[in-house]
Amino acid sequence: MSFTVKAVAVAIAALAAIPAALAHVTLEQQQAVAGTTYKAVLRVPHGCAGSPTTAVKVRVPDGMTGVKPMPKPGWQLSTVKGKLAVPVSDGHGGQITEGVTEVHWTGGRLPDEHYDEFVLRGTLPNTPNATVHFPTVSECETGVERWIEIPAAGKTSSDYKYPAPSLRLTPRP
Amino acid sequence: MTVRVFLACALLVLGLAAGRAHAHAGLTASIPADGARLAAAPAAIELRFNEPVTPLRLRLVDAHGRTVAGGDGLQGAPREILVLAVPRDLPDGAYVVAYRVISADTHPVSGAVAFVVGDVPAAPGHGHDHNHDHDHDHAHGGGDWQAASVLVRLVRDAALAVGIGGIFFLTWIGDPGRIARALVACLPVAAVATVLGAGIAGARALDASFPGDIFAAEVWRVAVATSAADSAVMLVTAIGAAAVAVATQGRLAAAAALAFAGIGAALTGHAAGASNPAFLPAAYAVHVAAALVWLGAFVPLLVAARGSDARAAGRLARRFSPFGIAALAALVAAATAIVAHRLARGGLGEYGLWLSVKGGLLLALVAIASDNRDRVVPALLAGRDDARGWLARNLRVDIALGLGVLAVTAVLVHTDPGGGHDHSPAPALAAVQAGAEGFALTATRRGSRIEMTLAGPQGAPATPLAVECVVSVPGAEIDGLRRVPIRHGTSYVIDEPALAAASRIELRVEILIDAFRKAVIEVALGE
Repeated sequence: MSFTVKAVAVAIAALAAIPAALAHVTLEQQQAVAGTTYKAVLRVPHGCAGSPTTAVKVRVPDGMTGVKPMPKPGWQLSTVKGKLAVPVSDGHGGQITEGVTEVHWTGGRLPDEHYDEFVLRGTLPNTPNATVHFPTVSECETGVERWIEIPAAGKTSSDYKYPAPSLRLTPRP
Repeated sequence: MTVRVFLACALLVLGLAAGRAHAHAGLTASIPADGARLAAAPAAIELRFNEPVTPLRLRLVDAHGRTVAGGDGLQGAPREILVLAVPRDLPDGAYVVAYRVISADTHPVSGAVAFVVGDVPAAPGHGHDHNHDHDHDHAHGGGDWQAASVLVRLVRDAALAVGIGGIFFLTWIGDPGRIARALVACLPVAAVATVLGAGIAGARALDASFPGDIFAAEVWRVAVATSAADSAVMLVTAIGAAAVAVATQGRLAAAAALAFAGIGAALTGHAAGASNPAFLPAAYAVHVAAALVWLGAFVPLLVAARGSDARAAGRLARRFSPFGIAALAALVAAATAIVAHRLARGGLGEYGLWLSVKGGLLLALVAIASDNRDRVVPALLAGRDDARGWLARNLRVDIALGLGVLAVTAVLVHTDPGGGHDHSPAPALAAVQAGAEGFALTATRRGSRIEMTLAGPQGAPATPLAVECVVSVPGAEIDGLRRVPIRHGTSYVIDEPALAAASRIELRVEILIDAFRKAVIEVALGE
């Protein structure tokens, strides 16, 4: 087989793997050091079966603190505060028991042919080697897509149709 | 070298551009719509996807899991719309379109769409289920077309019996006294009824409005495309052969007429839909030809009985006797084979009920025939004049019973033999499965109805945001039939006629606990 043919074959084989991931709502960085501050970039590559996305709502993982979302022109930003699953020390001898649990970007319009990113920042829980999830709901003009499936033991995100964006926490180097 | 590298890079770029950033392909619409109830079978099934897909499997499956159209391993260029032709004269019942396609992102997607043709009654113990709308049929005149079809069928069969059966008697047994003209008069009646029956089949297929649309060109175009037209052509040929037989006193033509009539009857309806091609239509053909011989003898024998010569009538009856016995034997043998074949494929339900009625009428006919043979004919041959009265009376009862048999037959051919009208509740099959997040699901299945109860954590009543089920029937390779159960108090109910006869159902229950949490419980119902 000539070089060209081989190159093409390899290219196609490599490309075949990519589109599957392109199809889901995922985090740009899927690995981060536990306990550090992390910028979560949620990538929304499409709408709901062709319908434009009008709202993106995400629930931050338990144990993530100091969550601040990034505003987005054309979208209304709101957060939901609730009891933290794990109270956090506030550095002055006290405890923080409440914090942001959900972030909502609403009132926008992202057509299916376009791509956009939704960003928030916070401190990750200090649990190395764990995988945390950012269940995300995309609401569209018609329909809703819920990227909220948490893989059961022994399974991975690729086994699911609507997996929640996941982040693997690594130990400090 | 540079050219090759450039080519590889160009392809890489093209490949990236081609990798569509859609979620896996999804079905956006289908014809018929999922859960539709249709008055008549559609001519074709259409599945529309939100992106071009390559089909891997596209099948139309009946309520017993038998594939009636389509198959696996379909190839072809990726396209957004998949079309599957539906066989002519699809019997009433519940059907599932099971598909598996590859989307542009190379991910396989399977799913299913279910629909019902005709009137499938609600499952027992139904009450408030909103999934059924029996008014649908009448709004479209579907029920009227069915009634007209039954009536025209009865007229056709009676005319064929008297005409073709009678002409067979005339040429093979004897002429009781110048009835040829009367018999020939039945032939055009049979021909008109045959053609009209084909037209009605077209009207039913199109769900045309009753009755004016019978004159619409569209109706006849569709009619010509159905198996009813093939059958009609054969029957009209039979009628022609019978006319020739009368004109030439030809026995061969009369026998040919019988054969054509049998074949014509077997070309459409339940025989045509059979999966074993040789056996069932042949049995139907034999059954119909034998019935024509037997029923066709009634009018000539009655005329003989009302004549003046008792001995001549007796001779005629005795000459018919071996034909009658042979016809009866063939009729019963063929009928037994057909019924055994159906029973082997599952229960008969309402169809079985009508069959029993037909069987009862047949027994009465046999009783009269044996009375004729043992008592009446010997008396006639002995010259007894009052025996003519006996024969006449017996034959009048025979004619009435014969019409009854034909009427039941006309109803039978419009009834689903697959037991879709089974009123006896199937045994309840239960499964319990504890699911994620502390939810516990209890699922019970009775025929087409699946009832689920959910208990929340610590046994508290569950109040999920939504519950959705994905149903699979592994035995029929049906996968991904999505159904939203209807909530009745604390239970969730799915009623899907297409599942009634499935032996094993796998249910994936997706419980939306809140906006961001979902519990999935998988259960299997059945063996």
